[in-house]
Formats: sequence, structure tokens, C-alpha cells
Amino acid sequence: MTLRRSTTVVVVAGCLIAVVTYGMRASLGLFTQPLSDLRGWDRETFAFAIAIQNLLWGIGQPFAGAIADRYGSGRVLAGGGVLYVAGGVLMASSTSGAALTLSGGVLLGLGLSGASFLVVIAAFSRLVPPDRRSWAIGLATAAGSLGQFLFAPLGQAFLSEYGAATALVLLSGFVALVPLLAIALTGRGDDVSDEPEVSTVAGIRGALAHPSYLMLTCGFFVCGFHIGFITTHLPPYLTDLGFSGSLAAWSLALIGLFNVIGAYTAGVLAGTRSQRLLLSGIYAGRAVLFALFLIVPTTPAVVLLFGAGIGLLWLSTVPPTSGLVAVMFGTRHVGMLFGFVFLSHQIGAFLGVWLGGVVYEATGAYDLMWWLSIALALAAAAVHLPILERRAPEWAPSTA
Amino acid sequence: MGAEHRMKLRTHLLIVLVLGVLTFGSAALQAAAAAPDSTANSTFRLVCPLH
Repeated sequence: MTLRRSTTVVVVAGCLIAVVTYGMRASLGLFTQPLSDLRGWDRETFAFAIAIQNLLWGIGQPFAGAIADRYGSGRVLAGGGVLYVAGGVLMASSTSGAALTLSGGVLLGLGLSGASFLVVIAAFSRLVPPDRRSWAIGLATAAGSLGQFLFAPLGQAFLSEYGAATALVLLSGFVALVPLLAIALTGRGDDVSDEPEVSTVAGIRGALAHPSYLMLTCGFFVCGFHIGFITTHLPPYLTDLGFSGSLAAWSLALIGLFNVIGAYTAGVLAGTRSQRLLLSGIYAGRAVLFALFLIVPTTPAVVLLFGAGIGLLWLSTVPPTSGLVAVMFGTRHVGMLFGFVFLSHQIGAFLGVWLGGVVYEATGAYDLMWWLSIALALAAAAVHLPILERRAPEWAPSTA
Repeated sequence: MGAEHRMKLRTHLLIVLVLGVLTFGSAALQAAAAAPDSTANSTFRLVCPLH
């Protein structure tokens, strides 16, 4: 049966899924202390479950993408949503560390893989007309950012009113909407009809042998490195400089605002401009911003300006990166192939977080990490330039 | 490419305005309501959907 629906319905449903799933995911951090206090867990127990969740999310993403490519994004999103809800509800009732690892770690991690924004991107790549695809992805990226901020005060209100366990169940209730919204994202679209039949294994081999794909993957690794480092280590860096948590919170508000502007604008530009040049410009911009932040004397105004600047360049990488995957390989395996690119992002994020700690412990400062971030940003800016922004030869649409 | 679906600048600005106001408003609410003992680290964890 062919489901007829308008692009608007697809885009709105995808954006709402991004709002809900990322909102819930971002709110989990609020539960670290209250849930640990309630169950008598130490910080390490909770952290281990979240680490497992992140690991499974990253590893599971290419598989979720591959299943979405084969059977449609709607089913994967629905299945992921069910796992996500189950993970949240069981996490709320977990009383042991092992149960927490299984629920908040394994189930939520797999749920995130299935119900993630990346599967929404795969759906958009197939269901939204090419001329509006980048715009839709930019809009969903901005919507995901909105979800994080929208759900944080909501989660806090639930926590204050109902306690940790009930609040977690209530938030999970929102994720129960995902399988319903996923109905709008069922099907594989019509775009693959003129694309060559390429098996999953051949798709992976072909992509890994395509230099432009490898360069794109390396670039997104750098994005993950920056984001992992900054999200984890900027606050203590600011604290070391003697700034208050309040300044960090207002910087966050600016990052959120400018992230919406940056991600949306990148989506619009990616539809009409060279995506590799756009990415190159974003990474070059990050290098300049980091260098200025390091060189200019740090005042509250500079911190806020840095927040605005980094917000503008934060998730603006997503629309052109996912767009380039579709340009190179079409949409038949876009979920899986962008899943691998995302995996490199997560590895970069892991290294950014971990190396930040290592460097700080070894040198007592973050200076080396900032310079490393600048060097990587320049490398990423350079590595996108030779990318061939056209269909890989063996993936060219049939002309018959 | 896609001239038939090209959106007006005004529409783009309206979308960004709505999303931006909602995002900034929620974040500002959180910043204003942040307890003095809350750590900036927990706040910054909210920034990126990919984490």
C-alpha cells in the first residue's frame, strides 16, 4: 500500500520526534543525583549505565540505519521508540546497578539508535523532495536543539513535584508518541527506483573505498571531538578562570539560540550552495573562534560572545554532512552510511572528553587541548576541500 | 533547482524566530531557575543532541 502524505506532515512528524527523543535524552542528566540518592547508587554506577548507553547508541546507529534502509524508517523509529519507553520505565523501577545498566544502558542505548535523529534524517532523505531535503534536515536539527531546552525545565518540574522515579516515567510517556509519529515516516519513498541495486555489504565496501566518504567521516570525527571536549571541559575551564555557574548557564542559552539559527541556516544553504565548502567554512570558523577565545583576555562578555559563536557553528555541520552522504551514494543506504559517519563522530567525542581529562591531569591546564582543537579544525577545513560533491561512479542512477 | 518550492525569506525568519524564542526562553528559564549549587557541567550537557 502506498501511503500518500504531504511533505509538511513528514517534516512536522520528524521534527516532533527530534524534539521528544532529544528532549528526553538531554533530561536524563537531571536524574543522576536524585535517582542515585533514591536507590543508594554511587556516581560511578549511574555513569557506567550512561556510558553503556552512549556506546550502544553509537555502535547501534549503522545497524539501525541499515534496517531503516531496508524496511523503512517508520518501523525502526517505532521499534526504537518502544525500546526507549521500556528503558525509561524500567530504569525508573531499577533497584540494582545491574538492572540500571540493562534498562538505562542497554535498552535506552538501543532505543536511541532506533528512535534517533539520524533515522529521521534517513527518512527525510527518502521522503522529502531533494530541493527541500537540506532545509528539512536543518529544521529537524534546530528542533532537536529546542527539545533539549524545552524538556529540561519540564523534567525539573516533574522531579520537584513527583520525585525521580515518577518523573522518569512521565517523561518516558512523551517518547510513547514516537511510534505514533513514526506512521508519517513509513515507506522508502520513490527516489531509489532509479538507483543501482547495491547490497548492504557491497554498499559498505564501496563507501569505505570512496576517498570523499572517508574524508567526510574524518571531518565529522573532528566535530565530535570539539563538541565532546567543549561540553565536558568548558564549564570547569570557566570555573578555573573564576567565572560563576550562572555565566555558564547564560552562555548555554546563547548557544541554544544561535545553534537554532546556525543549524537552520546551514540547512537552507546546504540546499543551494556547495556543501563541502560550507563544511570547510564551518570548521575554519571554529578554528578562528577557538584561537580568539584562547588569545583574547577572557571576560564575561567574551564568554557570552564565544557561546553565541560556537552555537552558530555547533550543529550546523549536520545538514551538509548528511547531505553529502546522499549526494555521493543516493538514498538507498543513506541511513547506514550516515550511521558510520556518526559513529566516527561519537569516537571523536569520546576522545575529546577523555583527552581533555588526560591533558588537564598532566599539565594542569586545557591550553594544549585548545591548540589541538584548533589544529583539528584547520585539518577538517582542509580535508573537506577535495571532496567530490557528486555521485560516486558505481552509484550513479541508471539512465534507462 | 527547486524554484517551485523556494520559500520566502520572511518564512525562514519566522521559523527561526519561533524556534529561537522557544529555545532561548526555555534555556533562560533554566538559567534563571538554576540553584546556586547546581554545576555548570550538568547544564552544558544539554547543549548537544549528539551527546
